[in-house]
Amino acid sequence: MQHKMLYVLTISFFKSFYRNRVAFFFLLIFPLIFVGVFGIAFQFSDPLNSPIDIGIINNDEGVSNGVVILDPFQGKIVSAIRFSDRFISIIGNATYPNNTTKLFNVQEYNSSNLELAKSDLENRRILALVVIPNDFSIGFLAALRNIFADDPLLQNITKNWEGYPEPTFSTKIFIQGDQTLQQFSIASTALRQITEEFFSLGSSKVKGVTISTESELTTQGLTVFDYIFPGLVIFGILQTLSAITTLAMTDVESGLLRRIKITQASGSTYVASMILSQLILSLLQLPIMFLTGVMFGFPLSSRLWYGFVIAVILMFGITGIGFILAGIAKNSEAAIGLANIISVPMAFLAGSFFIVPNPELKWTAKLLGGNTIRVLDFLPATPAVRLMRTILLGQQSIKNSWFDLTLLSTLSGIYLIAGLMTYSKRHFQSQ
Amino acid sequence: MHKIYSNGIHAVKGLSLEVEQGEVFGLLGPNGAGKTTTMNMMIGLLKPTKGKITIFGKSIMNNGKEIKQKIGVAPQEFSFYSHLTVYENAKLFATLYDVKNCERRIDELFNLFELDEIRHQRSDQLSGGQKRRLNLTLALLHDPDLLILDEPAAGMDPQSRAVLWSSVKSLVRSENKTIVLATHLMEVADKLSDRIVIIDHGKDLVIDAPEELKRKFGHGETIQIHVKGDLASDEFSLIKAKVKEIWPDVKNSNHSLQIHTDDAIDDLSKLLELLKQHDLKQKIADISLRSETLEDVFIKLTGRKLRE
Ligand SMILES: Nc1ncnc2c1ncn2[C@@H]1O[C@H](COP(=O)(O)OP(=O)(O)OP(=O)(O)O)[C@@H](O)[C@H]1O
Ligand SMILES: [Mg+2]
Repeated sequence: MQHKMLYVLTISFFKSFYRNRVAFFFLLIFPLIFVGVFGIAFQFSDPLNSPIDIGIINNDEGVSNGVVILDPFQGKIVSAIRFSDRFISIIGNATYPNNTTKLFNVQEYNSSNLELAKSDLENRRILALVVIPNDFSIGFLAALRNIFADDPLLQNITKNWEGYPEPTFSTKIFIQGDQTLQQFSIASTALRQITEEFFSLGSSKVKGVTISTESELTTQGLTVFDYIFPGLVIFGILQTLSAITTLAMTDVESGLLRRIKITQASGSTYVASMILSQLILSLLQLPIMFLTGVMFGFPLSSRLWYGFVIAVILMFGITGIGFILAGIAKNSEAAIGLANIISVPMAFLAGSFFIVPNPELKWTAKLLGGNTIRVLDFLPATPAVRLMRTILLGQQSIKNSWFDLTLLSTLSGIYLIAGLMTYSKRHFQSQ
Repeated sequence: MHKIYSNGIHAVKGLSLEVEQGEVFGLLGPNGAGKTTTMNMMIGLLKPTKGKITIFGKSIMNNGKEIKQKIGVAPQEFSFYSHLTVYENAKLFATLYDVKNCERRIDELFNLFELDEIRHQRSDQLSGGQKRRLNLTLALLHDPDLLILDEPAAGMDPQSRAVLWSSVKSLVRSENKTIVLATHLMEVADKLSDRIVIIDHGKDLVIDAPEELKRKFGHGETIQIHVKGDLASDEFSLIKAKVKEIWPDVKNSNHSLQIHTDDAIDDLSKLLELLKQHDLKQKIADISLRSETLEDVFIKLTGRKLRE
């Protein structure tokens, strides 16, 4: 390895950033302005209030014979009932606090259509899926027994709760969805509240039910800005693509590369220096980006370190893409033009700002031991966005996202190597 | 060798030459003749479409690293980092050439090319001549045996050119270097080269020492008469008519007449006699005599001028 050459080249590339004082100032101020603009914009933004698409699968078998059924909603005794029907209609009629906007757009699925419901959830046609179990109504009877246990009248009518489930019985409702989405957080909080109200009949005693969300959330108190921040970081990193491509083309364009090529420095030393200098720059920019996020209220925690690591890994992938462009484009204008053209769509496709349908490639499950790759996952930014969200917003440790982390590192590695090869083949061989 | 670029331009068409160790060899040719292309093939930056190049007895294609260390190249365009200072550029390229004791070498070259006082100046803030000298310095850091200089005098005034040449020449003498230089300026080729090749349209027309070429292709001198009026004026026509009576093949440009002569002394006295006789002395700005140049050789060989 040509250590000394690597060192002097890296330093001289890095000098090209900071010797231009104005440009360097903007390089450092860019993450601040960029995150700041969103921070300010969302500081004063209204909370989200449009109906959230959710799906409900009702497996409830109801209750009929062998028990005196009280319907507390109608105040009478009925011979058969599915309490879940009322539950669903309550969900459908729920509104945002202090206004008449509906909380949910409910899509009901037949119990045989679990697969369809799940794929709709995958593709974000619905953002939360509520699975009502077959013993929902029995659970509700258990709730009634608990609430009215000491009511002599009802004890009498029900023949001291004959045929009722034990007071300790409870049914289990599942709520599934992507916990890193703000809509899911709102939906699951509201659904939990509605369910608890339903099973307690407005009293403080919630019995007969447990609610299970797909994973535990710590989303309480997060703002809209907190939700967009992880995607914002990725978007910011993608914006460096054109800077990297410009750097990769500068010496080619000026002819200086010809002089470098006739020295003892190898192509890989030269390219490695460019990557290193860009990395040093990113190591300055990223903390500024994160700190600006914290300034605008993003929770300061050790998770930011993980976010930083993800950002750096993604940087390598983006650098690779920059070098691929510099290796295939006709000239430097074309290369930089391409970089500008692809960086924004790539950020959007990766889901930096809003949900983009990203179907699974089912066949990859066989190869990857149950984990699947999605169509847009070949862009390194896609797993990076997912990881950044899960890690910065969720409670999971980086270990639980090992698959996305592996995917991101592999992709970054592949892009980097492909970039180096395309670039040196094009610019380091005599033509 | 031949070079056909990917866009189909046949830049070098069967050029063949041999440079002796220790000589200064000039490639002289007009813009677009294929000089830079030839040099880029010599240093391995371009692959010849056809043909073979050996340097110090070895093919450049297979002996890259070893031969690179023996060649120093000063490209036609300024090739250094403009955001770095003069010294930083020198230090960078010395490292890339793995030069031991590079501080000493840098000082030595900075002294020779008078860059010492501006060593901490940013390279994009140098004058054109200073940039040329830096460009040349960077080619010499690793003390190469063979120096390839592409248009080394471009953009320099005659005075700094002279300084530059004396430095290069002293270097050649003290370090016994071989130099190949490309230029479209015949004075440069003439003054510096031991031998030159005249190139046009990618072909070598002739290879020889400049004096030999002038002797072979040119003979005699040219008497040049500068007239005060221009081509359209009455006095110009009058003088031209009179001169033409004695020298029928007289040539003219806008302000002057040229008479080619093999016997300058005889013809010059005849001319002065003629002007006196017709009382035309006041109408003449000056009369000069110059010997044949490479330019004239070039015109004879190709039918056109070097600088167009
Ligand atoms: N990279 C290239 N691709 C295609 N054609 C080229 C390339 N470089 C040079 N040419 C063409 O090859 C021919 C020779 O160019 P070259 O640069 O060798 O000329 P030159 O003698 O060095 O001229 P000058 O005195 O202007 O430097 C020209 O017609 C030029 O247009
Ligand atoms: Mg040239």
